Amino acid sequence: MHMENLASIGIWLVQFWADEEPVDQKRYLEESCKPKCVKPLLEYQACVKRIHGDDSGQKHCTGQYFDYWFCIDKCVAPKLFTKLK
Amino acid sequence: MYRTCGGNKQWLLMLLFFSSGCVQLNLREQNILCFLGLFFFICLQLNPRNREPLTSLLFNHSTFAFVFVTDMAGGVVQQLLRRKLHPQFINSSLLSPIIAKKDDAGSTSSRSLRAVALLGAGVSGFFGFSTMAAADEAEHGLACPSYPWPHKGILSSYDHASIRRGHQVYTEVCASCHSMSLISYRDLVGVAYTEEEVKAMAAEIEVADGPNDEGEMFTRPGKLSDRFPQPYANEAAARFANGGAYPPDLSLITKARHNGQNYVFALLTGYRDPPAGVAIREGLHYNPYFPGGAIAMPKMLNDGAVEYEDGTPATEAQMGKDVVSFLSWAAEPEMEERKLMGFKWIFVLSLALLQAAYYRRLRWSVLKSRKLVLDVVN
Repeated sequence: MHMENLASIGIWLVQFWADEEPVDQKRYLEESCKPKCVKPLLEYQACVKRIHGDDSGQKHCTGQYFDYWFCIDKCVAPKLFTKLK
Repeated sequence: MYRTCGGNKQWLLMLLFFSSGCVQLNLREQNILCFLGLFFFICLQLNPRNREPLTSLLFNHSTFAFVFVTDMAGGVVQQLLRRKLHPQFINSSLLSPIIAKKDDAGSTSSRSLRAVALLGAGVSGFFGFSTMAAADEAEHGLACPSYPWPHKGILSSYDHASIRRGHQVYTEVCASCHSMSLISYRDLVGVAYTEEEVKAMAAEIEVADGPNDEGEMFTRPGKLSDRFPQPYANEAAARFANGGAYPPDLSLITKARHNGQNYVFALLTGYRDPPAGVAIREGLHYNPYFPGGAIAMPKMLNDGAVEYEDGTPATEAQMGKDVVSFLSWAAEPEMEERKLMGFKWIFVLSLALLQAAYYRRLRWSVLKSRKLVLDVVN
C-alpha cells in the first residue's frame, strides 16, 4: 500500500519536474568545481593574455587548458553519477 | 611504445645501454650504469607535464624490452670487436659476452672504449634529463577521469535499465553513422528487452536476403537472428559521407580504446571551445580527449535529443552514461557471468592452495626435521 502511494506521488512529481528544462548535471558540476581549480584557471588566463597579440599561429595554451580541465574532471567525476539515474 | 611527454626520448636510454653493452664493465660500473639509467628514466616520467606519472612508470614494459635488446646488441658488437682485436679468442658463443662482462679485461683498447662509453652514457643521460620540457600534449589527448560506473565492482552487474536507455540513444542518435555489425537483435533478449519487444523492433527494418526459388535476391522484414543494420554499404561510402573520416564500428569500442568506457564518456560529453591559439579547420570540431584535438564527429548528445520511455530527463550526461553502459555491454556481454565465475574459482583455488600448502609441509617435514651430526675422528 505504502509503496503504491509513494510510486504515484513520485510519478506525479516527475511529471511536474518534466515541465522544466532539464539542466545538464555535468555542466552544473563543472561550474560548481570552478572555485577548486582557480590556480590552473588563472594560469590559463595569464597564458591567454600572454599570447594575445600573437599572429604566428605557433603559440597556444593547450598545456594550461589541459591542466585546468584535468583538475575540473578530477573534481566532477566522483560526484556526477550520483546525480544521474 | 608508450611515449613520454618531452618527446620520444627512449632512444637516449637505448643509446646509453647500447654503448654500455659494447664494452666490458666491472660489477661496480654496471651497477652505476643501471642506477643511472633507472634514475634518468624516472626523471623522464616525473616531469610536471606528465599527467599520468604512475602509469608511465609502471607500464613501460616495451621500453625495458628494447633496453634489454640493445644491451644484448651491444654485447654482440663487443664480441665482434674482440674477435677482430684479439684473434686468439676462438670460443665465441653469444653467452660469452655475458660471462666476459663480469671479468675485467684491462687492455688499453677496452679501457679507452670504456671511457668513451661512460662519457656517452653521461652525455645521453644529461640530454634525457634536460629535455623534459613541454611537448605536444594534444597528441595524446587529455587524460580522461575515472567515473564510478555501476558495473565497476568485482561483483557488480550491469544496470540493465541503463542498457535499455542506451540502446535507445544508439538507435536514435548514433546509428545513422555508426554500425554495430557484430550485435544481433537476439542478443538484446533478456538483457534490455523482452522477446516480443525485440521481434517488433527487428521487424521494423528491411533486410536483403539470399536467392529465392527463382534465383532473385529479395528484401524481407528483420528477424531476431539478423545483425544490427549498417548505415553505409562499405567503408568507402562511410568516408565519402563523412568528409573522409570513417565512423568506427561500435561493437567493441569500449575494449578497442585505452580506458574505453571512461574515454568514450569523456569524449561524448567533452565538446568544448578550443584553447586560445588553437584553430580547428572547417569540418572538424575540437574535443580535448580526442588524440590531436580535432575530431570529425560533431557534438551529438544535446539535452533533450531523446525522449526516454521511462521518463528519465535526457540530459547530455544521462545520455552519455546510458549509451556507454550499452556499449560496454555490447563489447563485453559475458561480464556478469565472468565475474561470478571468477569469484567462485578464486575461492576454490584459495582452498586448494591451503590444502596444497598443508600437504607440502606434511611431506617435507621429514626432510626439514633431519639432523646431521659431524663426528670428528680424533
